[in-house]
Amino acid sequence: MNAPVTLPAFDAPAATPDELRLAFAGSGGEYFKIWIVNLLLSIVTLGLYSAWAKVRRERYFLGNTLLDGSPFEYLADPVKILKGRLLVMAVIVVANIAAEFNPLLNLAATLVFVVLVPWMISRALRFRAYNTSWRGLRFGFDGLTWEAAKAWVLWPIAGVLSLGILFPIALAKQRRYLFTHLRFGQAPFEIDLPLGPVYRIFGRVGLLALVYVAVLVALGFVLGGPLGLFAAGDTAQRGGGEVFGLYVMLAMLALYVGFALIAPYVSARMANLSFNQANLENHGFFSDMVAGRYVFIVLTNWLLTALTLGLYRPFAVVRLWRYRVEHLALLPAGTLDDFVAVQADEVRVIGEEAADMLDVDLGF
Amino acid sequence: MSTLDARLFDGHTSRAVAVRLSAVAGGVDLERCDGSAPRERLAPTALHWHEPLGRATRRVDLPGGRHCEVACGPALDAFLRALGHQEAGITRWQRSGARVALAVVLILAVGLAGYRWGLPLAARAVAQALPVAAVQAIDVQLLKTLDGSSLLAPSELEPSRIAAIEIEVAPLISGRGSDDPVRLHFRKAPAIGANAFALPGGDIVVTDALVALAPTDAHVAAVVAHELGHVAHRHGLRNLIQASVLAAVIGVWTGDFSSLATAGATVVLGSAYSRDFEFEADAWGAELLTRNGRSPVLLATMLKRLERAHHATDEAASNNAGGGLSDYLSSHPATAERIARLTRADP
Repeated sequence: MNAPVTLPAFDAPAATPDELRLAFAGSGGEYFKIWIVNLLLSIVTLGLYSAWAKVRRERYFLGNTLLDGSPFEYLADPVKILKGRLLVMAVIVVANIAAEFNPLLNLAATLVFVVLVPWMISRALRFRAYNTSWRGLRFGFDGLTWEAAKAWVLWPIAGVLSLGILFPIALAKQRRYLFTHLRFGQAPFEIDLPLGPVYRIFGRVGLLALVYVAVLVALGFVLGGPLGLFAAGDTAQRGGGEVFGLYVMLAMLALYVGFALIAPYVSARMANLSFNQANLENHGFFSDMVAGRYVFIVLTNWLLTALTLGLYRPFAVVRLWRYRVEHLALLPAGTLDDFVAVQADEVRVIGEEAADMLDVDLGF
Repeated sequence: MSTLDARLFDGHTSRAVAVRLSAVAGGVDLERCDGSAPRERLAPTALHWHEPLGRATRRVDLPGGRHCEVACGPALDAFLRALGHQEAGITRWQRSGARVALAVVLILAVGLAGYRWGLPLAARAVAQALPVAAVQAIDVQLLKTLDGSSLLAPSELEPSRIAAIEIEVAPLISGRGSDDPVRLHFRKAPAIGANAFALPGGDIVVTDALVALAPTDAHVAAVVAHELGHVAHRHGLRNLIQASVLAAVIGVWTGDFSSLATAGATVVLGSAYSRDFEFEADAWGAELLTRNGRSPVLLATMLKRLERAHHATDEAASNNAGGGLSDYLSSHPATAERIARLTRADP
């Protein structure tokens, strides 16, 4: 006979707290074991197991992510994931072979993909939302393909044509699409995302990039001066060319890494902004990631993954996920007991059953 | 009797109900802590325990779309023991440190074996199975792209010189024991320098600089014999297949954290393959030359001259533009070793 274990929320007073922070109970070491076994089985089964591997990975991450003491759950059926993957693979292989033989077919395949990508985005979001649950209630997503096409194809094209000036709008449209079509049970998410702050994020990126390049150039002169790299005529000197080559390579690498870090920086800031502007019925959200810290985590994750020839990867994934999760909170306006599931017949009307077909990792 | 506190959810609302589960003979009793509903007897087979993938909570599905959340810990372990619950094989595998270590070793072994033997064998099988016509379609595209770029320009050789080389090469092409078509192309390529390369489908490109470097037309023919070896072994295709598989595997393994890192690793790992290809093409070319009553030393001489020529250009380039990086990742390394082998092959 064991002493009964009390669960966190049972002893909590009835009054709702001001903020419910999400918690992550997993660890890199634990996930490493799951990852390595998943990998081995995927190799042994020539990739067929990867669908089960995906389900177990998602279940590990969501199942260890706790809100108010309750985990999130991933409910997808691996067999359906496998069917979807085989279908997508077949399409890609056929398109590639066709393109190899006929450039005209290549153009046609590109056009098909442009149409297909928004459809896949909306389907994948639907699949993921429908297969995620908390306290027995599924999430739901009802965004249309056309709107995904606007946010992921048309607006980015406008961004490119306007030399980047309209690009922040594309990003804002994507965020709006993600939030406004999301439901928990019957409760809709909403977001009020003004463009001003989005543009401010990109303004900061521009400033930081300028400072970074200026520092690199200054550093180049300070380090390059004593080596005599800029003195005329010295380049013919023995070995001078090699040093200069190395020097150029380092500068290119620094530039490349710097620009690769823009994406995580924007991602952290956009996540903060969108959660802080979003709500679920009367409940609000609060995200307080520090963009610099987030970028630091991403950068050190890259380094360690490269140094360990990839073995650090599961630890890296856990580290980043933990940071994201632990800097997100729900601001409850009252009890969380009153969310209601979508009725079974309504599910059929929305067409969520068909959503089981396609799963694509989009990395949202 | 073993009992366990849990939270029950009915699947219709997010409201948690505090319940107590008791392991009894013949099943599990479910009882609400506030006594608002009668005690319910569940058969052990009606309970579906989800895979334990975390340390916080575990989910167990109940009949009627309901489920319970249970805190992980000694109480849950004791309860499952009382039920006689057997965890799935994969769970036991994951919990054993030795088996996880075995998985790491197996993956490394599979990776190394696949890299050294599996991928080359598979690429060869696929390359040999592809019809010649399909591969030639690739060649036409490739050559068109190269001709359109600044890399290749029309040859400035005398037509009589080209005709003389073609006469020299003809017996090698007809005597190589294959009916697959081979086409010889001459191009001016200042950026590439003295070189010759074979496209996957049997198109061989010889640069003007290589012809200028060769003491006689027989030397050019010897280089073509080497390229015919690449064609016979379908090295171009195999290289294409191997590089794409390598890039895909490295991308999956590292989570594609950077396309630059993936490309870099692909080049480094792929350079070992191209070394093998060069040796294979040399051996094949030497055999072809010997069969036609010529000496493999012709090819060795050309290798020596090519190396010297490229060394000179590299130095010039590194002095002018700060290059010199091509030295680190040459796809024609071990030239001394190749020359030695070719000299030995001379009867």
